[in-house]
Amino acid sequence: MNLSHIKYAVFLIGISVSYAQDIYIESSLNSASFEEFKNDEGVNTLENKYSKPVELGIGVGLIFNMTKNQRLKWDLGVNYNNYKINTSFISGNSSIPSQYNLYYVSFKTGPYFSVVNHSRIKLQLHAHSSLDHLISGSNQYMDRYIDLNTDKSFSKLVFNAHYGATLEVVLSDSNSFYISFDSKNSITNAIEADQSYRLNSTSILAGLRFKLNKIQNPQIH
Amino acid sequence: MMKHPKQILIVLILIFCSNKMALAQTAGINYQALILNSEEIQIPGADVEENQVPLGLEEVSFRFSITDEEFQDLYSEEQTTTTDENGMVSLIVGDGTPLFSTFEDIVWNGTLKYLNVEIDIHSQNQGYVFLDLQKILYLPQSGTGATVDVADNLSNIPITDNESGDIIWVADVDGTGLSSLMVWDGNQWQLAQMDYDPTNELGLVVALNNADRDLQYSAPTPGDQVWNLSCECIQVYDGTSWVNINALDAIAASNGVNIATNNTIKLGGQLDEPTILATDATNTLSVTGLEESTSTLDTNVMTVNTSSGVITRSSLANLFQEEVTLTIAANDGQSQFATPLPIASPSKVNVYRNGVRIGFTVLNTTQVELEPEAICYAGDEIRIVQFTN
Repeated sequence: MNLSHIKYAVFLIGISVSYAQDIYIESSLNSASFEEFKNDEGVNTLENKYSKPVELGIGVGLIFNMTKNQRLKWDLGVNYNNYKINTSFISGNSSIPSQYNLYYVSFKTGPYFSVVNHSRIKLQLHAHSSLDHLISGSNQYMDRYIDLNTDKSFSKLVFNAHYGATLEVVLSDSNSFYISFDSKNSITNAIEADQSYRLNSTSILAGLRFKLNKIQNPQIH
Repeated sequence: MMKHPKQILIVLILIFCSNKMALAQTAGINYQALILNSEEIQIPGADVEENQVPLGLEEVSFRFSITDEEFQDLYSEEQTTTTDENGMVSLIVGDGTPLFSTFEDIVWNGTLKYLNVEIDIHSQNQGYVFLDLQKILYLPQSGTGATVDVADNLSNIPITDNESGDIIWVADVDGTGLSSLMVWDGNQWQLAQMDYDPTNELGLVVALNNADRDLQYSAPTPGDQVWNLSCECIQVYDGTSWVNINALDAIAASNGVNIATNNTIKLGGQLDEPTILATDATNTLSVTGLEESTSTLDTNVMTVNTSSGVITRSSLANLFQEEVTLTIAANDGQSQFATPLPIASPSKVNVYRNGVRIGFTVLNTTQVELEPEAICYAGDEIRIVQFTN
């Protein structure tokens, strides 16, 4: 990333912050799995019979009001997630356990719609899309260790579709607490044109939202 | 992606002959192999490369062929099994379905043999493919039989037609039922488990006293031994009681030998039986340091019987003889003369005529007769010298 990119990013963030109404910080508990894997013969040779470890993630973002009644909002955020996936593959007729350890930076955006928009409690539904970029990753089975960063056959970018619900509790005029459920399904990743899989994750998120105008123009009572 | 034909790879083969071993239940060769999957397995990310993971729970058939050094089949068979979860198979060559000859008919004569292995993976439908060719290693074995020769005891083991290295199991090698494996060393049978290391022998069991001994040997068997500290002796159980095999007080001395204090054996004492000391020209009997006596009174001399060698004593007076002389003036033609003493022995009589010793014969205990050539003339002096005893 060169200097012009940094300048452009700072400019966009500045513009976004100046137009945003809320800023939030959140943490998450994530579990993930590979779904619908197909080898080049169209056979799913992965078995997801093992437990799904839960890993931590963090995120920050901005929320924009899209309507005056504030029922429709727009989310723009960045998350850092770790996925640990226990799976196995078939050799002969027996399963060989395998574990993936993946670290992603995710850029997400999408709308919130408040089905309950009480002044104190809000229930919001969201449908987001995101672009995940693999920071680091590995795969281990038996005594083998594979660095997925250097492995060209593993997709570094993953496009995802999210949906979920958020319960927001307004704590004061300037901040609120929320807890959210999010289900993320990747768009099918094609590997060398004849293999495919989906990387799905389920997350429970909790965070705080702060009113930017209260921060920028604090009212004196 | 290129599809690799499904193959397996043997990465480990352990072969050892159990054939003809004494404890073997089945004649055969143990065969173990780890079978790896050489097919590339596709997973998210880098695929699993060939021969990295085992081929588990796969039904496979093996065809084993034992050949001679010229690869002529001596025996072949087929077996079907399923690999375990770790890709391992464990089979006994000789336990399958024979295709050619029988395992028992293989002559294990020490020449080089090979084990050729082919495998058929049922799911692959490719039939048998060559898998491996290994030399067969041998263990010591006996003769050409199917099992180790067995003999009841040492008297039944063969002493002819043996070759070095032949082994035999003897059920009873010492008459007590002790079994042993024996090896023919080229000249004789040797116990296979003979201990040649003298440093690992056990010492005697030590007991403080008889009570301690009895405590340690509550049910002794004949031959049990113990070092008893109280008597400082080795005790051996003879089946009835413990016997001190080195206690000096258990030794009786007699016939001129006695045991003095401190268990010292000394010469001296009463003879209990006629005793002979055999001597010869080399091994003589000597007594040195004897005290000299000048008195002839109460003094005897030791005499030895010529034939029996019995030693007796005799007074000095008996050894000194009195000489008695009788001088007679002979008549003309006289040849018989009376002796001064009764004749005990002709050797104790000497007859002189005119000072010359002449021969004679004993007529009776009191008369002698001159030899015929010694004719007396009147006035000849006949002197008869006779010793007493």
